[in-house]
Amino acid sequence: MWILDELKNRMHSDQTAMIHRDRSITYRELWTASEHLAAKLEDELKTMAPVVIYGNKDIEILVVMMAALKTGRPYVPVDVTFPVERLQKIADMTEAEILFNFSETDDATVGNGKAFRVSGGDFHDWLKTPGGRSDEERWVSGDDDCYILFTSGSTGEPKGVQITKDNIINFTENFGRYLSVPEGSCALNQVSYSFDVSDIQLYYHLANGVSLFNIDREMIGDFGELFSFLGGSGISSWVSTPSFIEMCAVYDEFSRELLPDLERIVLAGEVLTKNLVKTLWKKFPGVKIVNGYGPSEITVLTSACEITPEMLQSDDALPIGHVLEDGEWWIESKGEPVEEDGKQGELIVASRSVSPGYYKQQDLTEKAFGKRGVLRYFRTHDLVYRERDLLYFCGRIDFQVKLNGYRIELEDVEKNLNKISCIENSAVIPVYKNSRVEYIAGFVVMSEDLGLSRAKTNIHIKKELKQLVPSYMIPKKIVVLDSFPVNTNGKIDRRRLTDEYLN
Amino acid sequence: MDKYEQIARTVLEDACETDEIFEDYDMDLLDTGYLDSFALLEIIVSVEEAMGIKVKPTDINKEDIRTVNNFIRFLKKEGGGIADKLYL
Repeated sequence: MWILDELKNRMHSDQTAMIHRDRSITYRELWTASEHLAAKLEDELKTMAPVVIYGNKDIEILVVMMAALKTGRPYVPVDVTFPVERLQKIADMTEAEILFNFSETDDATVGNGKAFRVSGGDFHDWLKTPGGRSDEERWVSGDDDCYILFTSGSTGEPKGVQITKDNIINFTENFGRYLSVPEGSCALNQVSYSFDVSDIQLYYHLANGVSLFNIDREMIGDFGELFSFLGGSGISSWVSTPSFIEMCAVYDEFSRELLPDLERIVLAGEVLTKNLVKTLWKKFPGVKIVNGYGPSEITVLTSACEITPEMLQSDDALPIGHVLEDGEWWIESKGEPVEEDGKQGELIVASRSVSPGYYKQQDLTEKAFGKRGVLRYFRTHDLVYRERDLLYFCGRIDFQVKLNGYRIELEDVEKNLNKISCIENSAVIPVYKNSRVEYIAGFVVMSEDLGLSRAKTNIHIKKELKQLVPSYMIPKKIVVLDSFPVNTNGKIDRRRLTDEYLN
Repeated sequence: MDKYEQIARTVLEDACETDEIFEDYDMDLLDTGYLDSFALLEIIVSVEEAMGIKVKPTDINKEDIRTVNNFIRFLKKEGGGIADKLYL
């Protein structure tokens, strides 16, 4: 199933495709608008560079995404949680010619003298191009990139995961059965476009005639408002991180009454706990709950399963499910394949869902990807074990963590802290609670005394860091040290820092 | 220090993982990254436990946790009339 073909089939349909607050767009309008914009892009753009989009959940973003695909160009979705500096870095790395700005930051600040064009106002003018049509010959084809997701890189610079049309089709074919809800129903669209779980909504639900109900960042700041939007949504499908639904579930008002049509809850992006499943089944008896797992490099999902009551009873944690069936996967420990059940090792997957690699970063790509016959494989760096057909997640073999579903390389935070002038060195450590990361703590050694109080010093550090990395990567807790304790290997003793300061 | 301030301090120190926020009761806890939307839910659970009341989504929003003073004001409003039931 391919989104552009499906949208073309529905180009005369007046069914709602997407709703955001008091605005909406039908499949017909979406088709027409993306046709016009695609025609305009073909006229205006001189290179095939990716189209960068900076924003949160505006309906226009969907139009730009589809228009880009219709011109054979990938889009690069950058959520507003990314600071302008990182956005500009991404635009530079992709040699972007144009950046669509749907954020609150003005075009001038976003562009700031860089080579790419920032289109704030152009967008609406361009849509008025009468009779603009795309050329189907130019639409993205099998191994063309459809999107590039820039994710946290341990070098301190973001890493662009390229995902092709074939990757996406493979994902929809392998996981459709875990995601489906009736055509004509409505699906929650809350996950940020910078996070590939949102592709479930874009490439599966929307393609299947399921309207998308957008929840934006502002709504999450006020639960009264959020719930009044949710109450009017009629959603039958909920796709989000466990953290987000857990936030909503704190309230009694989050119930069958609020979401009478809810049939399916798909949770991905971080560990799913039994307690959360129990809470959700109490509130929504009989609702299907699906646990999904997978790095962005393997296109949205690598494994999934429907949670059963038996799984709650077992001693193991909840499984991450069955790995997709195309291709091959294996578990490796100390370079050797793991054959037995119950033994931990790194999950490696060869599949048509595996990304071609990191955008213009050959060396990083070579380290993480390889070939297995005609298929590409990816070293997930995730520790898993198999038990009778199902996979279970144990942890990472590197310094990457998930915080509220966001993927963070701890070294990315450290390298950027170290860019701050008053900081000499840093160590960022995750704090766990019930097998999930509760927050990250930053330990720093200063290179100069700012002469400020504890709070003011930490606020200064956070403010500086906010210019460099997305807001979710800012450590909640900052501890200033005179020096780092060092272990017998001469490295910063993180265990000791955890014991002394984080309990 | 009255009971509301006590509860406010306990709940916020827990949610912010530090006591440095008490240097300035009017410091913006949201803009400075000490609290976020996820912290809000932690705070709601703590308030419900500390004050024996149920908090509805329409009862509290970001502004109520923006500063220590805002939060104390919020607790006074919510807890008004059940001062005797307050416990930490």
